[in-house]
Amino acid sequence: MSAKRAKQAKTQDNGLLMTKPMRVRTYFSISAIFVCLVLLCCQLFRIQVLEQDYWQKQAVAQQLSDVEISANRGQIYDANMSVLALTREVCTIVMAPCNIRREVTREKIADELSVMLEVDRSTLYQQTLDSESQYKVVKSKVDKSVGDTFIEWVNENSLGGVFRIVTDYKREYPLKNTLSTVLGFVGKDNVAREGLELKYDSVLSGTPGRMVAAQNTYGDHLPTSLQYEYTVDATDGNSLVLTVDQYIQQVTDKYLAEAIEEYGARNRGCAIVMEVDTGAILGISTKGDYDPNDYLTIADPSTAEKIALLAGEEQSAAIVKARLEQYRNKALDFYEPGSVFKIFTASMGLEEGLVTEESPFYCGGMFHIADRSMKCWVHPNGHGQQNFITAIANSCNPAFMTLGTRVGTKLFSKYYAGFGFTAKTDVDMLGEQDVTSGLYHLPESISQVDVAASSIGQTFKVTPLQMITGISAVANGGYLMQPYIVKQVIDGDGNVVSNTQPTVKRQMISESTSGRLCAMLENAVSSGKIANAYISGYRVGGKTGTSEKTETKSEEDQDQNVQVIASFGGIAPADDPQVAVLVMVDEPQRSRSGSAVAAPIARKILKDILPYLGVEPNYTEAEIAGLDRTVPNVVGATVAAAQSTLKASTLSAQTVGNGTTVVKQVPASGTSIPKGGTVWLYTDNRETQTATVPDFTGMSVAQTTQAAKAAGINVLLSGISTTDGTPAATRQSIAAGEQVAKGTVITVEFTYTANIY
Amino acid sequence: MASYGSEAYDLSMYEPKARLRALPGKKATKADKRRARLQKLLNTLATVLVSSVVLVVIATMISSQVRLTEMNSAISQAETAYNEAVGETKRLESELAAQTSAQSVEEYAQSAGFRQVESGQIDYITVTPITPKAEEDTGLWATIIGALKAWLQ
Repeated sequence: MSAKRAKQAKTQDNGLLMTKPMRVRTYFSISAIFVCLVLLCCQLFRIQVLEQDYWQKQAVAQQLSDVEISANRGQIYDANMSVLALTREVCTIVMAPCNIRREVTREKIADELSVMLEVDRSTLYQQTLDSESQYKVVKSKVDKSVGDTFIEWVNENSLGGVFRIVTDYKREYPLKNTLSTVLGFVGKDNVAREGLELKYDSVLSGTPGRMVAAQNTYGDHLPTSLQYEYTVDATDGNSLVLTVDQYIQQVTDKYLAEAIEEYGARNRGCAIVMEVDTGAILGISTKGDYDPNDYLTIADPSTAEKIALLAGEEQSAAIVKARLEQYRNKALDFYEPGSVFKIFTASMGLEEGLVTEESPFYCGGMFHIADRSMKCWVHPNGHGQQNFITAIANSCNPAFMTLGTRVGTKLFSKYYAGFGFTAKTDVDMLGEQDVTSGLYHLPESISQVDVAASSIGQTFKVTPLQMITGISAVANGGYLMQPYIVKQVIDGDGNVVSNTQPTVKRQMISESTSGRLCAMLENAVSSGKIANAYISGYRVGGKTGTSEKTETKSEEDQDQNVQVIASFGGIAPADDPQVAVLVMVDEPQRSRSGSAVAAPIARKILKDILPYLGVEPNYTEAEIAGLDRTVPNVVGATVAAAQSTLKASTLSAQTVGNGTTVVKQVPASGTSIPKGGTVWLYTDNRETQTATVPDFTGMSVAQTTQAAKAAGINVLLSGISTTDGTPAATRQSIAAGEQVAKGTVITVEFTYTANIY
Repeated sequence: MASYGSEAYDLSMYEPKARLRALPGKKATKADKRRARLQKLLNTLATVLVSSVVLVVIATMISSQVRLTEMNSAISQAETAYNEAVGETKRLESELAAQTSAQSVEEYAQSAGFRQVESGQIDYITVTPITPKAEEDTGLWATIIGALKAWLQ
C-alpha cells in the first residue's frame, strides 16, 4: 500500500486500516456470498423438499441395484398329468462387435459359430462388422447343452470379451400341434399371446420377486454380509390340469386330420368330445392348426405357398391374416348347424307333447309356409309318409319344419335360449365371442317362417361348443352344463389350489324326454340311415348336418357349387350316454353330406375311446355272429388236428407242403381274422407263397371279399353295419400292389355312400 | 494482542509466547514411586489384555467373515447346480412327454409291427352276479345242539 493511499484511508476512516475500495469490495464479496448462500439454500430447499421424491429415487437408483427375480411359469398337464406345456431355462448368446479388433477373428466367428449355432453365416458376419455396437443377439433361446459347448469354444479362443450368455426362458410344447389352438402360446418375449396361456396368465405366471442390493461405482453388488441386500422371493406360477385326456385328444386329432385331408376341406374343421354328465371337455381338436413351438410359421403348406408369391405389404398382411386364422379355435367360431339342430327341435316337440314317436308326417319334397316354399333335401319326390322316428332318421326337412310351426315362435325362442344358444357358454377358454343379436332371431321379431327355417338349423349361427353342450344336455337327462376344460389348479408341489366343479345351468327337458330322444337318435344310426356312425357292440345315437354357407354363395352358384359344412353330433352309448361327440368339417370338396364326411370320423373316434373309457360293448346276436375271430396257434400240430382246431373257430385251412406236421402258419396266432377266413399252413420249410395286394378302393363288400379270396389274402371289413346299405371301400391297411404272404390279413375300411344331409 | 476481529490479521499468533512455568509441588516419596511403578505395570497389563481381547474379537470377526464368504460361495455353487438340475429335469421332462405321447407310442408300436387290438380279439365272459346269502338264524337250541354235535365228532 502506498503511503499516499494509506494516508488517504486513514483520513477517511478515522484511523481504520480499510480503504474505501477495500470496503466496497468487501461489501460486494459479502453480498455475493450471501446471494450465493441464498441461492444454495433455495436449491437445497428445492431438492430436499419440493423435489424430494424424484431425487430420492435417483439416489436409490444410483446406489442400489434392483433386479427382478423371474417366477417360474406353471406347467399345463392333461387329465393324466402328461405335460402339455412347460418352461425351461435356456440362454441367449450376445456379442459385442466393438471388441473385435481383427478381421481374422470376424472370419473365425462367422465360420465356426454359424455351424455351431445353426445361424446364417453372412448375417453373423454382418453383425461382427458393426464396430460401434456392444449388443448384438447372435441367437436366442439356445439349449443349455449348446450353450455349454459355446462357452468352451469362447474360452478356447479367448473371446470372453466379445461374447456373453444371458439366461432366458423358453416355453415348450412337447406334443407340438396337439391342442395348440386351445393352449395358445407364449411369445419369444416370454409374454402369453393366445389360448389358455393368455386366459390363465395370472395363474400360470406367478409373481416375480425382487432383489435390491447396494452397488459400487462399477455397478457390482456389495458383499451381502454388509446387509445392504433385500430380497423378496418370487412366487412360482401355479399349474393347470385340464380335463382333456391325451389319448382321446390324439384319437380326435388323428381322425379329424385324416378326414380334412381325405375330403379336401378348404376351411379347416373341428371335433369335440364331451363328458355329458359334467360338461368336461375330453378332447377338442381343430385342424389345420399349428405348432406353438414355431408359432410364426404358417403351418398350412398351400397357404404358405400362396403367401410366398406375394410381395411387400400385401405379403405382410397375408402373413398376419394366415397366422391369426391358424391360431383360431374353430370350436368357438360361429357356423350354421344345419340338421344337427333337429335334435333340439325334436326335444322341444317331445317335451311339449306336440309330437310322439308315432306321429305321422308327410314329405312331398317341399314345405310351404306363408309365401315361401322350402325344399327337402330329397327333392322333388320327398320321403313320403313317415312317423317321427323315421323322420329323424331321414332328416326330413318338411317334417321338422311342420314340427317347428307347431312349436311356435314363443316356445321355440324359449327353448333356443334355454339350450344356451343366445349366450356365451362361459367356457374357460380364450376366444369365445359374444352372441350378438344378428346371429339369431330375436323373440320379439321371429316369424313362423323364421321358426320353420330355424327348425332345420338354418338362418342362425351357433358355435360347435354350444352345439355339443346342448347335445350333452339332451343326452344327460336335460341338464345344461357349463362346459369347462381346466379341471384343477395345482401349485408347484402338486397341492390342489382349486377344483372346477361341474355346474348345472338349468334343466331344459325331462329325463323321460331325454331317454326317448336318445333312443330315436340311436335308431337313426342302427337303422342304417347313418350307418357310417355304426359301431358293432355299441349303441351310438346321432344326427348328421349339412348346412349351406350362404355368405359364400354367389348368384351364379348352382346348388352343387355352394360350399357346405358337413357335421355330425352323436352320443354313446345311447342307452346310458357317457360321451357326446361333435364333428364339423368346413367346405369339404370330395363329398358333401354329414353322413359321408363327418359321421365316419365320429365312428372312428368313438370306436377307439369307448373301450378306453371302460364302456363295455354289448353285442346283439347278429353282431356276435359277425365278430372277427382270433387265429389259434396250430404250429406243431398235425395237419388233421390243425384243420380241426381251425374249423372249431369257423376258419378254413389251406395246406402247403408234403409233411404231416404244421411248421409255419400265416397269419400268426393271435391275429384278428374275419369269420370264415383262411389260414395257410406250411408243413415243410419251403418258401412262403406271396400274393399281390389288390386295389380295393371303390369296391363293394362282395367285390372286396371276392378279390381278396382270388388273391389268397384275408380282409377285415371295417365300418360295416349289420343293416343293409351300399358301403364302398375307401381305405386299405396295406397299399395296393405290395407283395404279402398269402393268408395275410388286410383291413379294408368301408363308407356308406348313401347320403343323409 | 491485536484488536482486529479477523484471524487473518491476528498478529498475536506470531508474538513470542510466555513460557509456562511449572507449579511448585510436593517431592515424590518412595512409596509414591512404588505405587507409580505398580500403576504402570497394571496399566501395561490392562493395555495388553484389552489389546488381546480386541485382537481376538477382530480375528473372530475376520474368521467369521471368511467362513461366511465360503458358505455363501458354497450356497451359490449349490444353487447353480440345483438350477442346472432343475433345467435339465425340465428338458428331460419335455423330451419324455414328446417320446411317450399317445401319437409317438402308436407310431412306434406300428413300426415294431404291432396292431391295434380288434374287437374280435377280446373275449368277454359273462359273470353271474353272486348275491351274498344271509345266514339263517337257527335259534338258540339249534345252536347248542350243533355245538354239541361238533364237540362229539
